[in-house]
Order: sequence, then C-alpha cells, then structure tokens
Amino acid sequence: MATEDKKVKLVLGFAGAREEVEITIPDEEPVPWDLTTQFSVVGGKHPRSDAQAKVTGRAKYTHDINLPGMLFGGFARSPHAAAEIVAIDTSAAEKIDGVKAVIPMQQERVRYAGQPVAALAATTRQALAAGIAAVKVEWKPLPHAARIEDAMREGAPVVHKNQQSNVTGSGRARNDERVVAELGSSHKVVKATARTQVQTHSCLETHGTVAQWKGDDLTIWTSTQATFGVRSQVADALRIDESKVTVLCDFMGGGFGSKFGAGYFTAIAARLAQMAGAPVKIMFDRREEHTDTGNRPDSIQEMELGVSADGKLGPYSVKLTGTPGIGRGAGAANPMIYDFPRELRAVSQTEVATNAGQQAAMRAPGHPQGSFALETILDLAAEAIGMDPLEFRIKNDSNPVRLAQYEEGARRIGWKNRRKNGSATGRLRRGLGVASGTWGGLGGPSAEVDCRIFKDGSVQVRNGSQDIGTGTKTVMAVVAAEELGLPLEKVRPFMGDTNDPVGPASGGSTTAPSIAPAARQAAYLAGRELKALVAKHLGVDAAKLLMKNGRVSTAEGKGLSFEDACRLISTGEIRARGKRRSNFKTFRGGVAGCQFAEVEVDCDYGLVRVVRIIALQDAGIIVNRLQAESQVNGGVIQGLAYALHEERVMDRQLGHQMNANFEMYKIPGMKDMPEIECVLYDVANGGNNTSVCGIGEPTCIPTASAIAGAIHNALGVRVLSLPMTPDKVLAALATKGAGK
Amino acid sequence: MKNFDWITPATAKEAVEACTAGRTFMGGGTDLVTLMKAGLVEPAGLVSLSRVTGLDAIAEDGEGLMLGARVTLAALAENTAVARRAPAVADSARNTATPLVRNRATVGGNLCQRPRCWYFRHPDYKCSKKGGDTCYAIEGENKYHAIFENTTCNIVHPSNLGPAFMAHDAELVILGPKGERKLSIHEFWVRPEEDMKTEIALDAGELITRVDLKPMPARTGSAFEEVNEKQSFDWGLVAAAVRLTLDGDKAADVRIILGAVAPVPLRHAEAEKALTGRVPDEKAALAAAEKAVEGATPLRDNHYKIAMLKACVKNAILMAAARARKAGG
Amino acid sequence: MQQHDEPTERVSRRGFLRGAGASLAAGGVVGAIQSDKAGTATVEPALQNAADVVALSFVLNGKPVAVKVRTGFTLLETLRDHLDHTGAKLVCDYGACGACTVLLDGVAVNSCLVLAVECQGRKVETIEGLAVDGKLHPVQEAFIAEDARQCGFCTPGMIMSCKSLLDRKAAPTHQETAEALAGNICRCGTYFNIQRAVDRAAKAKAGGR
Repeated sequence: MATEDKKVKLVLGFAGAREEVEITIPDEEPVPWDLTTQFSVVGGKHPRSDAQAKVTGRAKYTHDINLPGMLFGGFARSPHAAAEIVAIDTSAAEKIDGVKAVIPMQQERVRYAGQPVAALAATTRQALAAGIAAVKVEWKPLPHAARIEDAMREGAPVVHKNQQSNVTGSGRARNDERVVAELGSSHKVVKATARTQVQTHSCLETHGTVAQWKGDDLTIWTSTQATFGVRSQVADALRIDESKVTVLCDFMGGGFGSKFGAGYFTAIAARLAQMAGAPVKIMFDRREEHTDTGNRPDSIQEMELGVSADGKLGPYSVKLTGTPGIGRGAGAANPMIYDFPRELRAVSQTEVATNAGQQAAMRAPGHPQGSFALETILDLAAEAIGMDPLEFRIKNDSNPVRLAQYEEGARRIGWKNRRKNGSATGRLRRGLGVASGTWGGLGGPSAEVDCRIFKDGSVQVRNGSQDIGTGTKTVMAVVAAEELGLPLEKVRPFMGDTNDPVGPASGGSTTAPSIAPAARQAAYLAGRELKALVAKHLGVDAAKLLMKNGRVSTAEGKGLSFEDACRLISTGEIRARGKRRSNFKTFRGGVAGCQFAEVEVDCDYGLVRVVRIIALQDAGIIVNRLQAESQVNGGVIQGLAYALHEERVMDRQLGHQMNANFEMYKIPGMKDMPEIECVLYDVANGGNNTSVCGIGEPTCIPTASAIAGAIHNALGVRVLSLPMTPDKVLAALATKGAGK
Repeated sequence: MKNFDWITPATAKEAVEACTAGRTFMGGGTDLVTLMKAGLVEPAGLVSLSRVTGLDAIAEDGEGLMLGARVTLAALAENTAVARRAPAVADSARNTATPLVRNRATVGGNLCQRPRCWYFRHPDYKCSKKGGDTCYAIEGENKYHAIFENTTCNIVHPSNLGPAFMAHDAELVILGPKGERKLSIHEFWVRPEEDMKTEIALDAGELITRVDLKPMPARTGSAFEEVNEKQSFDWGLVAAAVRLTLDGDKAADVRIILGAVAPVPLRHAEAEKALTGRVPDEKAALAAAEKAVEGATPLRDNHYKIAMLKACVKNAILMAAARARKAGG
Repeated sequence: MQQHDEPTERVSRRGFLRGAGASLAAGGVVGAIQSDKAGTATVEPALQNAADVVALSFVLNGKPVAVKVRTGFTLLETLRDHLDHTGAKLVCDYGACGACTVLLDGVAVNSCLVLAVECQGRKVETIEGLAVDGKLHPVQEAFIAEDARQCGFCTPGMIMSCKSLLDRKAAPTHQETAEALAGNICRCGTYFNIQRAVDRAAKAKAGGR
C-alpha cells in the first residue's frame, strides 16, 4: 500500500464556534470526521451490544466463574491498625477439613486494620472461614493514627518505618511571597478552608480473580480495568513468561479507578491454585472491598483569594493537605479551571500518611475535591463583591464551549429568577448553584483493533482490553459499522481477552478515544481491501468506491451489496489491524462541562433534597447518544453521592473503618434522585480520526460544587465540608441564627 | 455461616417446646442472619416460625387490632385497618428498611432486633454489650449514637415499631415454657443498666405471638416521624411517635415517644404534660418538643440530634393533631 | 428433575445438625426438612440423625430441583455455587443493596438473607427464568431500550424488583417506582434510565393485553 501523507481540510469546533483547519495525515488513515460529516450510525441511540446478556443474567463476571473442582480463596487479616507480627502459625489452619493450601504472607508488621497476613484456599466457603479463624498470629500492637487529624498531631505515631513524621511536603509554594504581597493589595480578599471526605469506590463487583493452570499455562479471570497490565504484572510476580498468561474479563462490575493493578490477590490466587492443583477463586467481601482496594483521598484546602472590584480573579494561595493512607498521592486539582493569573498562583501540597488502606485513582482523581474547594472560594468571592456567581464565572472563563454552556444552562435552570443568597424563608428553602469542570480525555496510543470481514458478510471487531460498563464494545462496533456502511447489528465486537490486540487501561476517560480511532482505522483498512476486490471484479477505480447503506459502490450506483462483495474474498477472511496514533493538531485540549443545581433544604432537619441538575457536557463527536447520556447521568449521581452521603468513617480508637458495609456507608438510591437534564455538545476536536472523547470522569466533577452553591444560595451560609449531611447543614444554619 | 439445627414446628406451642437452650426463634431472619454471618450469635438451632399457624394474621374487632408476630412489615404497611386504627404504626412500618427487607421482616422481629451500633456489630470490638468493659462510642465515632440515658452504653434502639406501638399502648402476647403472659409494650424494654446483654424483657425460650392494639378513642390521631440522612434506606437519626385525643380543641391523653435517641424508646411524660390541655398548634407543639429535648447529654458528634429531634417531635405532634381533627367522633 | 450435588468435598460431621435427634425426642417437633402442604416438589425425608447434608428440593424457575445443602447456606450461595444460577449477585451480603433479589413464592426478597432450608417445597424465580422460550420479559426489553444499566452488576436484582412491582401495579407512578426500588443500589448511577425502563415496560405490558 502507498504510504504517502495526505493533506485534508477539516471543520472543527462546535455549533457555536467553527474553525477550518488543515492537517496532514498518513495515507493509511481515514479522513477524520468533522462537523461536516454525514453520519448514518454514529450519533444515534443504540442499545448496547452486550445488553441482552446483562438483562438475562447470562453475562458471566469473574464473580460468576465456577470451574469444576474450584476452591474458594481468602485471607486472614489484621485486627490491628498497627502491630508487629511476633509469630504466625498456620499449622492449625492447614489441618482444617477442606483447607487445601495456605500461604503465610511474611511481614514484620502491619500498618492498617485489615491488612492480609495469610492466604488460604479451601473446598467450601465454610471451610475457608474455619481455616481463616484458625490462623494464629502473635501480635505486638503498636500505636496508630488512622485519621488525618490524628496523624498530623504533634507526637503522633509514625506510620512508615524510618520516617520522622507522617507529613511530607513543605507546605511552601512557588510564588508564595509574591502572592502574599499581592493579596495585601487586592480589592477584596476571601479566605476559606474546605474539607472533603474519603470516599470508597464501592464497586458492586468486588475485586477478585479466578486462576486456573493447565500445565504451565495460566488463565486468569479477573475483574479489572487493565487486562494487559494484569498479564504483565502476574507474569512478573510469578516469574513466568508473559506468553503463558491469558487474562480474561468478559464483563466487569465497576472499577471507578480501583481496578488498574493486578492486586496482590491475583498472584496469590495463582500460587494457591498451583499448590492445591485446582482452580482458585478469590472474591473480596464487602468489608475487604471498602478497606483494602483503594479510596479517594480526603482533603483540607486552605485558600486565600484576592479579587478586583470589577470581578477579576487575582492572587490565589492554596494549601492542600490530604491522606493517601499508607500509599502515596493525595493531591487535589485546585485550581484547574478559570483564568487565574499564572504567576499569581501559589499552590502547596502536603501529604499525611495514616494507618489506613492506601488511596487509588478514583473517577477524575483530584478533581471533585479540588472543584468543591475552588467553587466554594469563587462563590464566596462573588458574594463579597456583590456579583452574581454565574456572571463572576463568565468573567473569568475563556473556554468558548463552557461560555456557551453557561448561557444554555442558565436558561434551562431559570437562573434569572435566582434570589439573593439567604433571602429564602420558611422551612423549605430553594437555591440555585453552578460549577464547572474540565478534563483531558482525548486518549492516545497504544490501542490496536482487528477488524475481520468474513466471506458471509459478517464482521468482527476485536480488542483485548476491557469494557468496564462504559460501553466501549458498542463504541467499537458503531465506529466500524459507520466506516463499513453497515447496520450496527452486522458488526460484532469482542473485548476482554489478552490474546486479542493490545488496548489501554480504562482510566482517564481515555478508553473510548484510544480504541475508537483504532477501530475506525481497522475498518477503513479492511474495507479498503474489500473495495480493491470489488474494483477488480467490476473494473472500476477503487478510489471511487463508497461503503454505504450495506453496499460497496460508486456514487453512481455501480457496485455490489456488502454480502456479495464479501463472496469475492478468497482467503477465508479479511483481517486488518488499526493502530491508534498520537493526537493530531487539536481544536482544544480539554473537555469542557458545567452543571447547574437546584436544591431544596428542609431547615427543620438540615436535609438537602436535590431537585434538579442540568449537566452540560462537551462530549466530542458522540458515537452513541444513549450511552453518552448514561455516562453523564452516572457521573452526576456519583457526584451527588459525594456531595451528600458517602464518607468513610475511621475509628480513632482501634483504627477500623466503622462503616465498611452498604448499610452505614451510604450510597443513594432511587428515592434520592433529582431530575437530571443532560445537554451534550458535539465537539469536533480533531484530535483523532473520530473526535471521540471520554466523558466518564468530567461529568462527576462539578456536581457536588454546584449543589454546595445551591445550598449556599438557599441558606445564605456556606457548608464547607463534604458530605453536606444534616448535622453540618444544621450547624451552618445555627451559625447564621436562621434556624427558625 | 455456621450450621445449626433447623426445626420447623407447626404450632406456637411446639415452637416454644423446641426452643431449648442454645436455640433461637427465627421469623423473617433479616436481622438474625446478619448477626449469624458476623459471628455475633452462633445458635445451635433455629426454630423457624415460617410454618407456625396463626402468626401471620391481622385481625380487627371491637377490642382493637391484633397483629400476628409473623406479620411482615410490608403487610403491616399496606393494611388499611392498620392505617385507619393505628396510623403511627403504618407510618413506621412504611419507613422501615427497604421494600425487600419489609417483605421478610416481621412485627416480632422488629421488636427483638439487636442494635445497629457499629461497635456492637464489628467483630473486632469487644464492647460492654458483648461482655467487654467499655462503650467505644463514648470516645469514638458517635454521630449516630444516643443523646439520652447514655452513660454506660450508647446504642439507640433500632425498632421503628417500638415507639409507634408505645404511642398506641400496645400489649404483647408472649408464650413461654411456663405458658402465656401479657406484657405492656411500655414494660418491654430493658435498659443497659438493668441488663447489658439484652434490650428486651423476654425470658429464655419466650416467643412474642401477637401484638394487641386497643381501639383509639374518638377524635384521636397518631403519627410517626423519622429523619433519615438518605431516603432510599437508612436508619433513623431521630424519630418520634405521637398520639393525642382532642378534647374540644385541646390535646388530651397525649403520648410522646422518642426513637433513635436512647438505648430504649423513650416515653416522655414531661413533654406529654406540656402539650396536654393546650391547643396543639405550632407554638404548643414546639413547647412540648423543647421539653422533650431537655436534659439531653449529647456526645461529641451528635449535638445535631437535639435540634433535629425537637423539630421531629414538633412535626409528629402537628401531624397527629391534624389526623385527630380529621378523625370521626 | 435436575440433581445437583455439592462440589467434591469431604464434609465434616462435627457441629452439623447438633442435637437434631434430641429435638425430635423432645416431642412433636418435626425434623430438619418437612413436607410443605402446598409444595409440588419431592419431599425429602426429615433427617433423623446427624448427617452431612440436607436434601433440599424446590421449584426453580418453574422446574423442580433437588440439591444438597447445609443449614448454614443462604439461598443466594445455593443458587450461585451449587445450582449454577449466577444471575443473582452477592454484593453487600447484608440485605442493603438488592443485587441478590429473587422472588420467593412471588415475593421479592434479598436471597442473601434467606436460608436455603427455608425454601423447601417453595417457588424461587431468578433472572434466568424471566424470559420465556427465548422471548424476553417486557422489563428486560425495556432495560435494553432505555440503557438502564452500565456495568450490569445490579441489573438482575433490579429487574426482579421491577418485575415484582409491575406484577402488583400495572402503571406505577414515579414515586411508587422509587419506593419499590429503594432497596436496590446501582453504583454506576442509572436510576434515571431505570425509571424510564419501568415506564416503558408498564406501557408495553398494557399494550400487550
């Protein structure tokens, strides 16, 4: 095939601001979709390709894998938040009826309650429980600090060995002195300290793995966001060739960032299976899921903001503190949006180690917590200078998509009827709030997709990474169907088997924008081969052939049906591989969104009811409108849960999580739902041949902040800490003396 | 879960005979099974009430309402006679747990359920209720704990029906090895100071078979109000059950019971007195509610319960009064 | 009749059905499993002696099944581990999430809180039994059309709760739907779509009559 580059002109941007751009692309790339592209499948509302399996109970998750002779695996865990292990004796456990393998997990000490100390595999759940209970550990309990407040205290027990303190980071920032000086000369200065809680991912399918050996070959079923990552990590941990490992994940029940790594349990399952000579299944229980699979770090964000009389953002100082538990990385994205003068930002970051399970990436890591604080200080600043908070944001935001969204959102929520902060009276008080979000989400290499066209006219697209419920499988199929001019049901997508082409970890909302372009290119290249066969057969120029409406033909109609064209295939099938390349010159790097909230506060009880959320979201070129809207709804609902309900509670005495269940760890249900109005913006960003972007993460960023703003508006007082539970709302009302 | 004997008697008498030492009765199991999974109880045998005849009826006659112990909360919530004759009971049944749990949970089980205190439920805490020598809630995470009568143990009693039954002066019919006895619901609760190991006055092997509610006098209304952080399923932060009769336009024969704020549901005589003889309007309701929260001894994280309870009592009074005005007679 | 045995294991007799014989001797009390007068399934004899397992039979999705269980098994683990019905999910194990929802004699329950031995002679319906001869139930159709799930892990329980609701109420209001589903958690946040699916299924059922 020729490999000359080609120049193409594209119309990028969105309905409110179009822009013509010329880019150079390689010959094997299809011309990128843009605002002028006429779609037949893309942008429609399509049920998902795996919907039927999910609604009939036939979908097999890792949790559902039952193999002949399979053993149940699990862990003996520490009842102490910090302790030395003096001795560990598993001999009694080994003698329990049904226990087939035991692995002591040698450690000198444990650093959080629930840390595993031994792994076991047994024939039944009951035998496993008996085995776990029979593991004898001689502990020397140590002092601990399971909460950030306790770990920061002077003289606090130090979590990590060989360290002087739990606190890392100086608390000093670049520009510190200049910002302090400028704050002194600002028209108005507002100060606030915002706090956010630790949130757990609470995947409904807990972390878990089934491991089965056949000779030297290992098959792993695992609930993961990164099949290929698991393959290499397991091979590495077991010191076996990666070529011997297959990782499967047909269906998975939620990850939200906590399932990137193989987890210690996966290698352990493989080792237990090896020892016992039988497949082993380890699925965490709900307590283990809460305490030992990651969480969103909490934050304490001390802010000072200077603002001019005409409402321009000035010097901004932020001191961020958070706990990653025994892990690393507890940053908050503050500031991330709005036009802060770059040289007038002083952001410092401090981390506090605690005796608690380590943090893990969670849906838009750092952003919801950063957003809550940032939008708080913005609302307070607007109030201080007597400006409408929306006007204040418009004044300080130059993103063209978001500016259009502000206008649309204000219209839909009825912003012009918004009353002054705190002017509502009576038991039930309503208020409106607004907040913004930004995200990257344009994806990139490495992702490869195979497109196979069979002689009978059926088509497969295959990628070896995973569909975590976001609908990536369907995205692949829609993109390929569009390219091949076929109805969606003709294209069958496959994911979740590492023997298929490589794909990304599902993180950063990059899966769809990484895989879709590869899928499109694969279909394009496979289609090109099919066109060549048709061109030769009919004696027409292949370059003049189009694939549309189930036909391969010229614009004048000379051609074959897709099925007839496929009969020309003499090699059994056409198989072409598409590869994701780096992003083209893009229209805009970020993904813009904003949300408006209306709440009703019951001042008798401090109860917040979210009445309505308007979610406006830049969604790239939308592949499947039905699932794009679902993503937005999902982001908003998790944002609402973060705003009002979810919070990990650690006991200051023994260091256990007190609510490691779904009874006291509060995940909202059907009766807690607001109306959600979802407004999607088709934006041709020109980043890749599809302009697909991921919106799993950006949609959960502004929700809590918008709700906080609406509560502020309703009550005239700010709740500075998440979740905004009745106790905090009542306390805020009491400070205002407006509780009556 | 560990294994156990499984006994399915056909009559209440057989059930009581079968419930020998180490065994326990099982109604809907919605609480018992969670306790067994956590290893908090390990009964040698379960005496199932599922096939015992006569325990699942709601009967109505001139003497009032008779609720079988195995009547589910779902049945209770949907029953029109209950809604009419004991509205507080219907309110409380409707607001308990989830629809799935209500399909299984029973009247008897709701009264006998164990506390939800997270220290009590956690296997690694040996609190005073489990034979230890400390109440971890005093110094620990006590947002959801008691604000009254909380010196030794800080659980809040989780029963919703309890306060509602108290508002209606329910009488429990209890069958035991020594025969049948009747017990006023007001005498049913056991404070931690009396016996740390239990919350209720049932002797070993005793079974609640029925709850009797007397008919309400004319111009009487009752209501149960509960505040939940989350609406889809949550334990109450505070609750109040109120019953009152209108004498002219004034409140008489008042019952005010506080839920989710003490180790047992609390009947509050002072608050009742404050309302008695007054027109039950917003002002009077608030005055009674203020009485109801007097003397609270909140812990570090549950001061909010005072303001919330006050509003809750007030709203329950107003609802009961509104119902009394509507009621015939 | 399908016959399922426990996976290969040597069962410990220790602690199992302790004192079952004694209880029988105590008079009038029937042993481990008793005939249900309404039951259609084969009745297993009451266990007279301490035994390894209890033979349990009930009607699963319209078909009689027999399975050997222990008294400490829940209905959920029996379905999942021993009857290969993995539609119902174990999520919270505490009755707080609804992912294990099945219908027991037509009533929606948390199967994680139901003992297997309670089901003797009774009818259990799971998600696997909802479609008839390959034809999906209107609720299933509606869940597909309205994209009423993402990861799909809550879906089997959610659909059973919806089915139970529509069995009782032909055209539930939004408030009634929210109330009926208040025991089912969806972590992906598809409640909005689920509401639309219930509306759609109610319409489809009404149209089908």
